[in-house]
Amino acid sequence: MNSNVANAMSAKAKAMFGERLKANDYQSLLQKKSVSEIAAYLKNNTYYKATLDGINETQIHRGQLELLVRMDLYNRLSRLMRYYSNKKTQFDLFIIAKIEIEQIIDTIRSLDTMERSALVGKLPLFIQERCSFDLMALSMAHSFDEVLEVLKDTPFRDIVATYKTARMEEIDFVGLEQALTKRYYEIVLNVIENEFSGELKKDLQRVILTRIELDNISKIYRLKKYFNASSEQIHSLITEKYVNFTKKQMDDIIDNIKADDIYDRLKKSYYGAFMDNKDFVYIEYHTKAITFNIQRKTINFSSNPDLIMLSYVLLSQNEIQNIIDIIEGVRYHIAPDKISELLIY
Amino acid sequence: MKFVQTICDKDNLGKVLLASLNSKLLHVEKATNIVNEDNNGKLLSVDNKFVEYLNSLNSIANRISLQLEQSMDCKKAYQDQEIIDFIKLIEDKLALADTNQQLKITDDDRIALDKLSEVDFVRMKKCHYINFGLGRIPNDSYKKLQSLKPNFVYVKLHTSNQYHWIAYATSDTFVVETNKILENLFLEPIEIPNIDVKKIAIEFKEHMQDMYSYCLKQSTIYRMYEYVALIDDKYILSGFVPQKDVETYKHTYDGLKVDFVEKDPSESGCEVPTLLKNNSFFKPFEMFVEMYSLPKYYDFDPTPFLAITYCILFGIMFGDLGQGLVLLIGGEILYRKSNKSFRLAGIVSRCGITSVIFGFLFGSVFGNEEILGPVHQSLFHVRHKLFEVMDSSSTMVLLIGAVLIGAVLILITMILNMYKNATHKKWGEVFFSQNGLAGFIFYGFILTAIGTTFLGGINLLKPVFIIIFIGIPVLCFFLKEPLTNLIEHHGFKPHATWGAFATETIFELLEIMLTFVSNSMSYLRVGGFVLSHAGMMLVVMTLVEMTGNAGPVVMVLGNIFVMCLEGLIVGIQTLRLEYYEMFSRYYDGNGKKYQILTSIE
Repeated sequence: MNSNVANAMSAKAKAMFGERLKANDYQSLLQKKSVSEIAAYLKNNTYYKATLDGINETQIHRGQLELLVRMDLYNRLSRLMRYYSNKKTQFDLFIIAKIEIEQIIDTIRSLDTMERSALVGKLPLFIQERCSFDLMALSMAHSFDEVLEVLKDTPFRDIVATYKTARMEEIDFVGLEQALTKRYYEIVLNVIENEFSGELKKDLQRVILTRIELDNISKIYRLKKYFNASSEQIHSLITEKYVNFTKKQMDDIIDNIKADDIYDRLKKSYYGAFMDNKDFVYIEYHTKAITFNIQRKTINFSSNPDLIMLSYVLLSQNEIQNIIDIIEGVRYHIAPDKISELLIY
Repeated sequence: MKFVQTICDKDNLGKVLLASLNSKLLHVEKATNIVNEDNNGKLLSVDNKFVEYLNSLNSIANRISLQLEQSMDCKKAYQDQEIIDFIKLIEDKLALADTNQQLKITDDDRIALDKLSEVDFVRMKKCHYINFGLGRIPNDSYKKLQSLKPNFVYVKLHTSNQYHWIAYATSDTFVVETNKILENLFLEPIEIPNIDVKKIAIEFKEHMQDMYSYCLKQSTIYRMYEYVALIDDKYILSGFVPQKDVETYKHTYDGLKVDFVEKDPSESGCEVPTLLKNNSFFKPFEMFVEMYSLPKYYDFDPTPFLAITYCILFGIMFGDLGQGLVLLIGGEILYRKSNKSFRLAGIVSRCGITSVIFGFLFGSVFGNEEILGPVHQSLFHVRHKLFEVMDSSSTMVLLIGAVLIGAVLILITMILNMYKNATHKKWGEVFFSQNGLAGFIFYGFILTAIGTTFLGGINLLKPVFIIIFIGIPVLCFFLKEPLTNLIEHHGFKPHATWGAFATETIFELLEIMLTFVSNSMSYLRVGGFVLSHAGMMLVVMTLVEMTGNAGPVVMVLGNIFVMCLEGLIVGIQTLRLEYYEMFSRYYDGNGKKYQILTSIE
């Protein structure tokens, strides 16, 4: 990327980040009483208006609103992508591959039902042109073989094939998800290894490895807290990559630390500097808050377009999660102060 | 103008009122101006129930998108109950439709509903084994629906940037499954109405229009009751009709049993309206008089004087033969094309004539100051041109000439003022005011004295002349109020004490002197704009020479620019002179416009 393109891209990404939802937007959204009111606010007062233009906010379906909000991020990224050359970028992999994995798991989970519309309705068809397989064909698959047929030219086919069982109820979904996630990170790290060099390569790897590490922490907490899993089981279900914890520290957490003490261990670690002052909410809240605070720093102080872009993606994903939390909260009549606790901004 | 009272009995009242509207000649007077204790007259009560009927019918028409004509031609008369029943019938039908349309229907929804209505909503609702549905589905979901190949039929009715509007049909067996699929695809349902309002519109259109026309007619009659006086069981409609049209006016009531009483306007007891009457040349200038204020019926019409002075002043300031011709032709074409309603165009065309004349005298054609040189030489036997506007020696001539024109106009306006006040027998104003005889002598003497001093070397400013022609008029200005009281037999005294009077009048006297000076100087602008116009055209001509081949284009654009800008400024400045320097001396206005009654708002 030449320096002009790099500068343009950094400036554009930072400008787009400047348009993000701010505290007053979240306060306004929390006061809304229905999905329609949220849709109307987003349509009339925020940068989502471009995507929401023409919707009938009085009757919009919650699922449709969520889909449109996700689509907005994709559209924004597509605009940024124009500054890139045509070759497939790490961001395609970073965003699209993640969604692809979610679609594969969702499809296999619903193989035993004939009813496809629930699955099809949520399909993010807007990413189809960047996908490595036909999303619609995948969701219309009625058997494991049909799924494998759709995935035949993708890096996921062989992993999925190993989980094929004679009976649907015997499928190890946790294992499948873990294997696919592992594969996903391998692909991303591989691209970073081959296409970048020097300090930038290290920085990008650090972002990905941090994400893996925080995913591992969440997973360990849940396995310990809710499934009472043994150390061996936990070891088999995490991705063995380390960045701010050493292998020894992580093994110690898995083998010796109780679930409720993981939060304290996190606070005392490198990540403690990026945690806010809230008491324990739920583990994913804190791992996301850490990601948010790290990326906030990156987008403000970095001048590297690749890093800025990656931060922008992660911060935007956080914003979308906030919106979805509000929509769900309002939908299920949760008090605004309770919803507010879940928001990271 | 004639004051005409149209008298009829109760049976003919409605027809008489409608005929008066159709006559388009009557300036009607309210009955409150006619009825008094002497004639023992009464006003008619105005309880217009038809307004309510009209509102209801209009509201229904809006709801079913029916355009009702504002006509009063109806085939039959309707009883109140008949109208009430009809309105209720349609409102009930619409209420039935409305209960099914609780959600707000958007314009796009309406398009879809219109398309679906071809199938007939009522028939769809009557089906026992087939279920119909309508809704908007996100565009993304429509693609998904096509891939799902569901076991129900659907048809696309309309699309937008976000949605497809679809109607679908399914059997009882699959209705639950169909609804589930569509819900998963985020369908936003729209209820199919029980009644097709379009059909209601078609079915009742003729009847509704006829009833509406009847109500409109009755309502108009009711609303005209405020103009009807009831005196000795006779219904009297009073108003003013131009004298020449009285017979035509009477003929509009042919076939009706009516009597007419004609009176001189002065006997009417009402303020008489003014209808300006001028020949076709002056007619457009009535606009300026109306803008200021119409003259009272018994006052003189200033339009001809305004028209002549406006044209002359405009012509001097905008003197260009070529541009004047453009104004003349362009203005006249627009004026005629607008059927003489675009009066400003008429004014422009008339100003064009004087612009041509002065343009010829100044020797200017579209800014070219040379082209008329030979014509001037042969006609006026001059060396170069009759008048060289841009020559430095011409400047003072122009400015002094402008002030002189102003002075003459001021003197004429004083004569007009004296004439106006004489007709009203306001002798104090005629003799002692600054715009009356005293002012005329004072201002006229000073002008004559200046003129004779500069032209003939005769000095008129001798003590005797000064006492007679300046001292006495100034004394008249000063003592105007007590003198006026004296000749009106109220004694030689002011309205207040002599001390207060003197203080007040000394300042007034100062103001009068200043006004004479400032009014005269105000006409300097006439000379100024002659120079400004010539100067601007000089710039255009210089640009034409500089631009070489593009010269003709610059010439045309430059002329258009100067015509628009200069024409506008000169037009406004002339109007200013008319209103402030002239009207303020001789014209009051305050007249009432003659307005014929053609419809009741």
